[in-house]
Amino acid sequence: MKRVISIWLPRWPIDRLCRERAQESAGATQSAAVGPTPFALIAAGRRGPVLWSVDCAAGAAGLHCGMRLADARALCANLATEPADPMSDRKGLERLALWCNRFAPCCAIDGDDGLLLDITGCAHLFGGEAALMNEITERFVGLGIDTRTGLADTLGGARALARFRPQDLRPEERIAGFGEVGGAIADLPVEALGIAIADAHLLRRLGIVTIGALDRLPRAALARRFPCRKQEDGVLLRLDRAMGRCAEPISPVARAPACMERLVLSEPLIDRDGVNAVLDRLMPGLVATLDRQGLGVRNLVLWCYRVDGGAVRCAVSTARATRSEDHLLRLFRETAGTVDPGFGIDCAALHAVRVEPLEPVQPLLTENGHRCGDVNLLIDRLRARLGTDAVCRLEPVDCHRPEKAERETMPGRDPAPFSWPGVSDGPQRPFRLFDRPEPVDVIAEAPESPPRLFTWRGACRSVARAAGPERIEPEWWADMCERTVRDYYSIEDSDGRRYWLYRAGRCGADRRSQPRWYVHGLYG
Amino acid sequence: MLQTRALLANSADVTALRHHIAALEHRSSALCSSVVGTGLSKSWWLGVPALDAALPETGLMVDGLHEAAGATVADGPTASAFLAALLARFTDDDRGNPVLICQSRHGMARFGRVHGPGWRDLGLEPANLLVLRAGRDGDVPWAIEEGLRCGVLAAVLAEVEELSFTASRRLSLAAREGATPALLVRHDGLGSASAACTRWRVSALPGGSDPFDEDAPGLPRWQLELVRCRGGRPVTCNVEWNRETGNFHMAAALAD
Repeated sequence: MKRVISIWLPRWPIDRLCRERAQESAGATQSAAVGPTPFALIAAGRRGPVLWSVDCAAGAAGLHCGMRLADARALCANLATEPADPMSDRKGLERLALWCNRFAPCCAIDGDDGLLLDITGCAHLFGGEAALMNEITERFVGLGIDTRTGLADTLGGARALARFRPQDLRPEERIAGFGEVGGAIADLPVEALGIAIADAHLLRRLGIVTIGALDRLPRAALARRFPCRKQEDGVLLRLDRAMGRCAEPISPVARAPACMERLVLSEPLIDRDGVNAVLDRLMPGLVATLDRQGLGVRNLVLWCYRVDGGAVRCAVSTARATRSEDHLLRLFRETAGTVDPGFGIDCAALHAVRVEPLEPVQPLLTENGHRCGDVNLLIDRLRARLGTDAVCRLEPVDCHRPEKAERETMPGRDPAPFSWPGVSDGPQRPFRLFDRPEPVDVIAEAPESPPRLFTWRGACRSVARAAGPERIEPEWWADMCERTVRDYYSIEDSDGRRYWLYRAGRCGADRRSQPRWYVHGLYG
Repeated sequence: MLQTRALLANSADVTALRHHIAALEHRSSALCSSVVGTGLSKSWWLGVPALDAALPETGLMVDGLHEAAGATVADGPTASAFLAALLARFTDDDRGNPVLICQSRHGMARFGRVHGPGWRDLGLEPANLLVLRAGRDGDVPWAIEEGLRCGVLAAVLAEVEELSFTASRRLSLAAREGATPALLVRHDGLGSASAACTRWRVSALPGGSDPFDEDAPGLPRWQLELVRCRGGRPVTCNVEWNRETGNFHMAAALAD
């Protein structure tokens, strides 16, 4: 059975704005948004601006979200307003959701103003469910964000408890115990299910006010009366999900790790060396877990949770599954320097995001002790410092066009199905190839003959010897723009330098356009 | 006559002494007893008597730093092809140890990127190449050093834009530590001081024609100038590279 916490942020847009203002002015002055003056954010409505979010003072004055601004001004003349910014709200909520991963590895965004935490098996780390609820509330209060929380076996139940239980209840009184979700939400209004407004109105008109009353109705009648217009807010579906009769999926903001190791710091870290010390503490535990389960890690993420409600991510990936503590720590040494501790890091977690089975390997006796080290370790180090696409292997492709005859692959992938053509197959190829063939001016004796003189990069070179042409036809299925015939010549100039030139297009095919010449590669 | 005979009788001792001195001087791991048996026991020669005579008696140092530069900027690819050909004479593909090729951003813009089929023609198996393309040229020496120190690679072949003496000394020590040859193409020329064992200046020469087609280019011909050689002496030699046999030959004076 799942245990889910729903966190509702009733005044998220205003809280976010206040937090950003405070950070900009480094907390020097109190923002205009909090204070005795009623404040509201407005957005464009169908008939003029409407209230998007209201603060406590405005709420006390009787204003509520969705009210038109003109009506609000009539009620409360000294209302201060600012335009709402839903995009920033959303981004802020995503950041907050990542930060909430400090409580549980699976955290999702719920609508525009809520978060969901799957705390199955996590509560004991915080001293029980009530203690966890208290800690979450306290942390959010510390961040200056108004929250209500609810805990139940189902997402729907937790959501209903968080949003529709009276405001003055303490967090631990919003917990529905194991299997008690049906009883806990029975006396909440039907709107708590999150059904469509029209459906809620209809239910109220029929005299069905509470979820309990709705649950007692015969299912067949309900299904007939409220056919699912949209899958997500069908009355029956919502009811079943809230009651735990059918499962509700949760889509976390960060991929849940296969295994993780977590460290809570009593004193926040404010320097980068501390991050390395944290890694030294976390890594042995994770490696031991991996070892027990016979797993190796391909992708490892260090999450640093900051006191100011942010999460910093630092990732390393490996070319082959490994659980070597030294190697992983060395990879982190290259990247952990980029972690910005900000106002301090008070919790860190090491997530093994991608794992693969890894059996212990017996080194072969016949192998030479010195050279049989793992080249993948080198590749990992190079990639950790220079970027993931800095190192590649070359892989042959079954294609005649020189620029497509090879492909760069990540080291550690399976070998290509094609093998490299042999040395004696066809004419010699240049060992350096230009990404973009460079145009040259060419003088040839006849249009179809090899060049005599060509000008490349501003210097004129006279051709001493030329071999060719080697005609490379385009594939018939290629795009029209790529479908020009190329005649390749390998050319030696009078200084002995060698080039790979080609003529694009057929001679005499079109009188108006002459074939163009390009340098495509260089020989040694 | 008697002295000669005595010398001959002692030639085994003389060889042993020579090996001992070479080991002390770290001149070549080919003779160094501590490295024998690690797969590096092969000695490394160019196969051209005139050049080999100028090298120390142990051949090119296997765990050393070797530099080449083009005589002019346009000879850069020639220098890099020479080092690749040199490497192809030394590595054997059966072992499958990869060769790390480091390309600098400027080198790539100027002379193009590594093209696998062409390296096959030079005698290096493209599947064994590990190509590193550094975003910043400053990262290349670091990557070379990592590659040398790990001791897994068959060799490191890199092109550098500039390298200080200290950096070259560092690379040379790393090569010895990892018992891995380091081959550098210096795009900045051989002007600055360096701790390399050998330094080559390479330029392209007009070559002969193909034996089957007199208009077509034949074997590439290079002028190799051994500018500096620890334990050897400088020499200049014109050679041809035969890609099919993987051998250098003395070039004929001038074919035509």
